[in-house]
Amino acid sequence: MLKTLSDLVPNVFLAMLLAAAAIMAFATVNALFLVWLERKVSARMQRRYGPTVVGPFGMFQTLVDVVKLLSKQLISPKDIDKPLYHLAPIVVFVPVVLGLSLFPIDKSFALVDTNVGLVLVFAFAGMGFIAIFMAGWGSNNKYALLGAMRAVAQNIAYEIPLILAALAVTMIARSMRIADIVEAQGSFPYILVQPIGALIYYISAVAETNRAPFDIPEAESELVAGFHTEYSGMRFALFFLAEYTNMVIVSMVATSLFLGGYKGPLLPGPVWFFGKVYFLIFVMLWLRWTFPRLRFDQLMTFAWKVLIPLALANLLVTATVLKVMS
Amino acid sequence: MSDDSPQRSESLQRLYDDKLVVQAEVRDHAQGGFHESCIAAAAALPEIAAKLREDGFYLEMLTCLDRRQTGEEMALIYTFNRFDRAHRLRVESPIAAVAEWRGPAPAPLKGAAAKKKAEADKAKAEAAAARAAAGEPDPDPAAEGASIASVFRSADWYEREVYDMYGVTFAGHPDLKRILLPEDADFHALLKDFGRIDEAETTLDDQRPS
Amino acid sequence: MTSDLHKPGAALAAGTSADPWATPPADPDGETYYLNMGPQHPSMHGVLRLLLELRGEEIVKCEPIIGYAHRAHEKMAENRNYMMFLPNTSRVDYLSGMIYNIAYCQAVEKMLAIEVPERAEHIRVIVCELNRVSSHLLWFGTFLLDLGGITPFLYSFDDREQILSILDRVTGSRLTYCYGRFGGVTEDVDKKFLDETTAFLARLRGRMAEYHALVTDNVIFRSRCEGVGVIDRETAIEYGVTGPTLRAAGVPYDVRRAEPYGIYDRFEFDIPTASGADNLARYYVRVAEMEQSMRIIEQAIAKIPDGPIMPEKALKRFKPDVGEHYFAVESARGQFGIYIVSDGSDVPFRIKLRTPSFSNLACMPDVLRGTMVADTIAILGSIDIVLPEVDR
Repeated sequence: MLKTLSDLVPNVFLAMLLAAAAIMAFATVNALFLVWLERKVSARMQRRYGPTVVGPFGMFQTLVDVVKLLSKQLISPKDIDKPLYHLAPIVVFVPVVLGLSLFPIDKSFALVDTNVGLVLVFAFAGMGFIAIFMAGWGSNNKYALLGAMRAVAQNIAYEIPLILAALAVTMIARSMRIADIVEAQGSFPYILVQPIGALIYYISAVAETNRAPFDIPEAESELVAGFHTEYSGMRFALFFLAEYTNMVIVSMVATSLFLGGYKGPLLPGPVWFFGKVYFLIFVMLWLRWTFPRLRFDQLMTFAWKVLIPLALANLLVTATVLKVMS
Repeated sequence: MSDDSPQRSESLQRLYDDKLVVQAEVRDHAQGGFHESCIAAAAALPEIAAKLREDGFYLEMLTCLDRRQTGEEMALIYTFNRFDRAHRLRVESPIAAVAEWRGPAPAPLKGAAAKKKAEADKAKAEAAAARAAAGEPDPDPAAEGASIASVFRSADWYEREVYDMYGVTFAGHPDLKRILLPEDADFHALLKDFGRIDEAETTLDDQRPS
Repeated sequence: MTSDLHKPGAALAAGTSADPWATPPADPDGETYYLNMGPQHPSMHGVLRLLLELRGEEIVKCEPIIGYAHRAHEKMAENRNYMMFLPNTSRVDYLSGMIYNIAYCQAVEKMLAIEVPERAEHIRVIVCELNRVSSHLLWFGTFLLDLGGITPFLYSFDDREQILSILDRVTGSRLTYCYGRFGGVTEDVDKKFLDETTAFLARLRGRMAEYHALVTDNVIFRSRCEGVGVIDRETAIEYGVTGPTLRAAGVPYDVRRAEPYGIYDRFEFDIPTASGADNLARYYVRVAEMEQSMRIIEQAIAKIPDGPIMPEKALKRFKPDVGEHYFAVESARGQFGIYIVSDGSDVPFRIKLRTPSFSNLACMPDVLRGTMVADTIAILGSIDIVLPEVDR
């Protein structure tokens, strides 16, 4: 039976505190690890060493970087939209933290278990872009504004195939509870049933996280740094943290929907779960360090003319097959 | 032109026949890098450029020479070339001094050098007189250049550079402003009496507004 | 024209805009806005400033503003003797400094009619072509960087590093070489240099296959390049565009063939051209040029004779005859011309450096009109401009 934190800890407030602490700790440690991993992976792909000095294999390099970021002066440009500018780094981080709580990491444990889990995940993911637009609009910088406009357009375009691909899975599993979907994948994962859906989901997920080759909202060579051009120090670090946690969330969704979540032979559930998640993240890193960036209009064309029709067709076929088989 | 001189190219011959250029001569490419050379009045440049463009030339370079120190005029040097074969055509266009010479006078020549110089000057003057008598006088120095930016758009930047560095203006240029030096500079850097090394310690600061 | 140009403010009155930082007038529809791209921008090549008028992401108007790296090389030339100007030349274009340095030597040798020993000529060809390859390698990396691909950048820099080390051993510098002297070169090359160069060529051949697999056949790369930034033959004539950018428009114009200098007429090599005139065509031409340069180096290594590297009578102080000389070479970016006017003294009367990037950049307003912001960087990258060379 699936247990949640409120089952284990009788006091509601204590449970909330514990959950918040656990998620924050995970998000931070995860980001530290991922930044290190990204540096190491990119270095290996580019015939470099990457960080080697601080700690074993340079593992504490990111920790030192965080100390640097924390100690940096926060610079606010002139003529900004103050509430939007200052709120954006917080708003971008909130939905990411919320989203993390929804995944069952083992057969018997999830922090929160709700029967609309999948809906909540996508709802939270969508909120992140409001923050990005706030940042772009509030910064009084044209590059930031351009980046924010790109981000919103991209989000709308890629949210649709993302959800359509997930919808096909929920039709098969007949539930939106993430634990149910994982359980419904009996002996084989849904990627075998839904190969096209899985591909569409993964491509859209990379675009959702603004990672290369879809990193046009912060395209360094065009828009300096896009929406976070004017953010420095810890404010910038929050955007950074959100981006890396976002990668984890979309990979957790992909793991739960298509790769059978915590299921797997021999090893315990959490190992399988996080193993699959980090494998998907590794593929994201791999993509980033291999491909050049798409142009904005090509990106939109790809979403509206290829991914969305394909996702719709996939949904239609799934529905038809399900109807015929039932 | 004597009869044994090498044949001019068709393009240059046409310009010569149309009385746009004088002193049209064939040069030794191995010696100076130019295939042909001629002198034209500034006002004729747009027409010359248009004719050359028809023939397949492109504007390779435009620059200016400041010879005021020795009492001569300034000159614009246009260089046209072709993509299908190398054919560097040099067009010189005399320009009147943009400002009075403020630098030191040329060092006086002595002995053999002075004699040589006087002979050269005399030969030059005689040649010019002979050309004038033959009906093709050297063009007078023009007060300003004529822009060929409407023929070759590359001239836009070259003319701006010449204006920037020498202060020579070009009639008909779409937007003649400084290009390399700061927009609020009040000097023209390549004029020979600006920033000479013998007065470098004081010159730069002295010539700026205080 | 104003009578006294040295009067403060005279130049302002003569036509420059009074306030360089004034906001350009907004358009009446209010649909466009201005974006200052550069001079400080992470992927501007050097310190170019583009004043873009944008409608959304589409470029309505573009005005390149240059001069931020103007170091007055031409003025310096008029204030020192011929020999003292030597180190300046490689700083004009720091990416193909060797070619510029040797070109200046060759120009002065032409003026003075100095014979260069055979061995020196061969060494010059080898180092110049190595320099060309290193410049193209750097372009390859930065172009992909402009498109968002970071890994090829580090790969090509790895290879470029090998060239820099090879040249460093013999010339003493890695970037701003001063290797040429009037009549020859400073240092003789040894067997190790030739062996290292041969080994490097073999290595680069292998790496080229990797580059093609990683970049040339990449779908995203091709879609970013095909049909983008077309500079055709007419535009090239209009703006005097030369070099790989011109050859990508299908014009086989290469100074090494059109007016052979040095001993280039003795080598077998092709002039690669392409027909697309777009980013992809320029990419193809440059990559093919690297292979041609390798061919030339191999031939030069095979043929290099023993002998002196400088004429027997070294040149100290000299005064060229009154006259003018134009000397053109093919740099990595196009036709580099040196126009030297001598007034008979030991100081050049005028040295005009006709730099290829100056002309290649001038066509930007035409080429960029109607493209997207993202393409701006890609097109600039594909033309391969070096700003210090534009500004001199």
